[in-house]
Amino acid sequence: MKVLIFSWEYPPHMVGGLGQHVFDLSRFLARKQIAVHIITPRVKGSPDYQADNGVYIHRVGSPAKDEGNFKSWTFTFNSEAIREAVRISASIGGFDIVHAHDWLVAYAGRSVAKIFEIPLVTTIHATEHGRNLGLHNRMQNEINEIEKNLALEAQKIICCSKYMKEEICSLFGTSKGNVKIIPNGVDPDLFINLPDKPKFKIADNDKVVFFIGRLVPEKGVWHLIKAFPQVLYKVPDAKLYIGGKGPMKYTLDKLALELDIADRIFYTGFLKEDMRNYLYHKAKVAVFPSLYEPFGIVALEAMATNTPVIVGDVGGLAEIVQDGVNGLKVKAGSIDELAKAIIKLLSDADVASSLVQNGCNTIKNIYSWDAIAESTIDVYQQALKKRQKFVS
Amino acid sequence: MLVLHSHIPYVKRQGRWPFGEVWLFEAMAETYIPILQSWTRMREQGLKVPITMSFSPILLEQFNSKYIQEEFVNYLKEREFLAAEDERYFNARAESEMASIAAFYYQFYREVRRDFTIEFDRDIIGMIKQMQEQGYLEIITTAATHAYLPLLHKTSLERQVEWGRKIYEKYFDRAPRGFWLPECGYFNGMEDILIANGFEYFYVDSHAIEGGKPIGAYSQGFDSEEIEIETFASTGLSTYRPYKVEGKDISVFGRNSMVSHQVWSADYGYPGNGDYREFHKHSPRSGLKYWRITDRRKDDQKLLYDPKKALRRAKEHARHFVYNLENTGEQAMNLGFSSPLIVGCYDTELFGHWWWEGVKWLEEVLKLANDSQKIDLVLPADMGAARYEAQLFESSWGMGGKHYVWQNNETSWMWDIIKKAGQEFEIIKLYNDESSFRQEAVEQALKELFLIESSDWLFMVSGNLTRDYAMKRFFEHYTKLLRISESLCNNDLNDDFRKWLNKIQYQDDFFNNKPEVK
Repeated sequence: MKVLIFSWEYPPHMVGGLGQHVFDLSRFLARKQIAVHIITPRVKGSPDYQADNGVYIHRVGSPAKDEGNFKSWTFTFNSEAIREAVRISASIGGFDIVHAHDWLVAYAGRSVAKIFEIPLVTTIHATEHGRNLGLHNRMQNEINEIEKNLALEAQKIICCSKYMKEEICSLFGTSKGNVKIIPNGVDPDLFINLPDKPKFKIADNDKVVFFIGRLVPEKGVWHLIKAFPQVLYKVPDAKLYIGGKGPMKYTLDKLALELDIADRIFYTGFLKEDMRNYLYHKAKVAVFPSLYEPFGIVALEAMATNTPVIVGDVGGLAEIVQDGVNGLKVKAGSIDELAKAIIKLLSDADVASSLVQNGCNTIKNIYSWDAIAESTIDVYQQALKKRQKFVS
Repeated sequence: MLVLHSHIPYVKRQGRWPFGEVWLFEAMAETYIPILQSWTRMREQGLKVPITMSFSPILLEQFNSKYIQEEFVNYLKEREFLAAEDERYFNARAESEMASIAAFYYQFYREVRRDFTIEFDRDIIGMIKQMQEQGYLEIITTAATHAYLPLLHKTSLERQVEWGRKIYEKYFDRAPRGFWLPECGYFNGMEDILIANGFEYFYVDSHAIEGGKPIGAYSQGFDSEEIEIETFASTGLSTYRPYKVEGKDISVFGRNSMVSHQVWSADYGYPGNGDYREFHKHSPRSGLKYWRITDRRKDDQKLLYDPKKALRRAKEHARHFVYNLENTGEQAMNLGFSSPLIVGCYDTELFGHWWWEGVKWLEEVLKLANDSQKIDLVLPADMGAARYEAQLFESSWGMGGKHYVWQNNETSWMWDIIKKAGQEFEIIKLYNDESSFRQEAVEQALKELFLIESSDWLFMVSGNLTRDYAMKRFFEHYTKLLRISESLCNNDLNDDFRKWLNKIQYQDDFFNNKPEVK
């Protein structure tokens, strides 16, 4: 089977979790004898074409930019991606499946699938409605519309949690039978590598509370800072490490100053893989107090690195974590509950170690990429069958 | 001089509802057929109603399609059925007002079907051709697929004009004299391409001649704060007379701003009157429209439609319009124009489709103008050679007076693709050889390019109206073009490709008279 994947992110171009997801999915698909071609934007310093154990990476268009006319860049990228898809298709004798990840590649996916008469599968990682807790402006409405039309045109939709499935079906009116839940996974091997010389050092007995993610409202990092004075009251030497960047940084700084805890908070900026591993490794507890989370891969990362984890009781996070078994859950937005949970894990080593043990099993049994690749191939096959039925 | 410009993008076999063929069917049922019928009636009453009408070549091709003709009849039957169902439904619930509106629609669609099948013999083109030959209708042409010309690169631009002429000749057995610039989009040099194709006249918006502040016909969906409104220097010229483009052998007519404004303006134009039928609200049962505008700002408090009341209002508006027309003429005469020319240019679909009572209004205006001692309806040919010369401003009739509506942050990427598609076709052309199959593939590639160039997609994307449909079509035609190109360049013309090409020929099926590909 030959699969064409369109993805806005692919290593080393990583913004959210999408790039990691597509990277892992494609290499595990390739292990199962699927030829995977990925079309993704150019990245400075990376080759336009790369063959990597059955995964063929094609980089086209101009590198993604944060500034400027993002919509315009996106649609231009779609046109470049189409051109590349047409070229590859001719050289390998056609694809069997088009797999589009998220709205940014919606038009390339739809158009190539339609004109080449092959089934379209799409993975919807998150929705604009969910990301923004509603639709508030023209741009958000347009993206919602693009997501909806992508979902309606695809033969099969993949999403990562029950929560997302509900959201997709109610937002876009897609039939439940078309939506398949396949959880994301983590590969524990990717978390072993540590930096030779860490950019900054953390002592073994430091009481590190760790957050990683984009600094945007939906991630709840504001609530985390707001809860931290209570934590410090009980555990005076606790430190809060915040990994990632985003538009909220200024607001967060201001909040920390107001609470007079700025000296207990350390911003690491965007963390490269080895430094991310280092922080998980050193952290006594990882906290992800999201208000919206389609899946919550970070919870799995914490489990894969033997870090006890606290999550907001929302979306996919709520499905991954069983409270008191493989992590702790707090009510989304509740500052008091959050503080209590952090204090508990910083001060009760027995509870922490039992969560870690169970988390380890969760990863092994449920969230392995091998199983995910298998389920994805099933979806491809269903899409092919559906298409055949449709044609005949 | 009354000029009506008719255009619907290519929608044949590109989806039926809610977007696609239904646009064409609605325009045929609500606008084209009723207008032509109203005209025939006036002619039978002995009135002189000379009108200039432009039909986009891509619209003519769809009129001419057997498939469209058949599906249109099915569409009308469907509407009749739905109206009859509605009538029964409302009668059963003793909602007599609603029932009588349903009956009104039933009657309307039945009449259109009778007119189309019997009077027109399904042949709209035959009908207008005959009218033109009788001398009361001047048909002019426009760009092949209604491309926005000022921003198109030269080869494509010339092709749009040339095919505009060719398709016209194919249907009307004579050369076209007038050219409608899509959206009145003009730039300096446009006239040379028109002259090269034998055109004698074209139209621009008033500020292209007079300067000053543009009227701006469209406003829906745009953020008016973003728009740069170009101020054009006042030239001292006036649209009350035709001009020759300076130093060139071609005439130009300027749209009169007074007559445009009264019909188009969202604030005080006629179509927004509370008695007229509301366009946007329709019955969820049948899609039929039962309400009057009532108050434009209040969506949830619409009163029921009263056709008789609306008709009275249309007649009143027609009297008002003709009265103003006479006044405007007198004022112009006071300024020293001995026989001032007033050019009214409108999208045909405004009448009937957007403004349901518009056809009646138009009929009434023409009747009153016939009666008036002060007004003569004229065709371009009646004007003789223009004696004065004018330089024209680069302009359009869109908001801001220039290219903003079609060229802005929302659409800049589309222009890049339009350009790339044009370049792609230049390469594809090199593969055109004796083989009839290659020729077919090249011809099909040209059709895809033509479709990419339609201004409609730009308009829908920038106005955020049926945006997804527009983008989908835009990308699909681009993908088709690239696939043809790839196969031709690789000389990979296997059976799969041939089968696929046959399918595409069936879907994107127009301009089939095979003039040589240039």
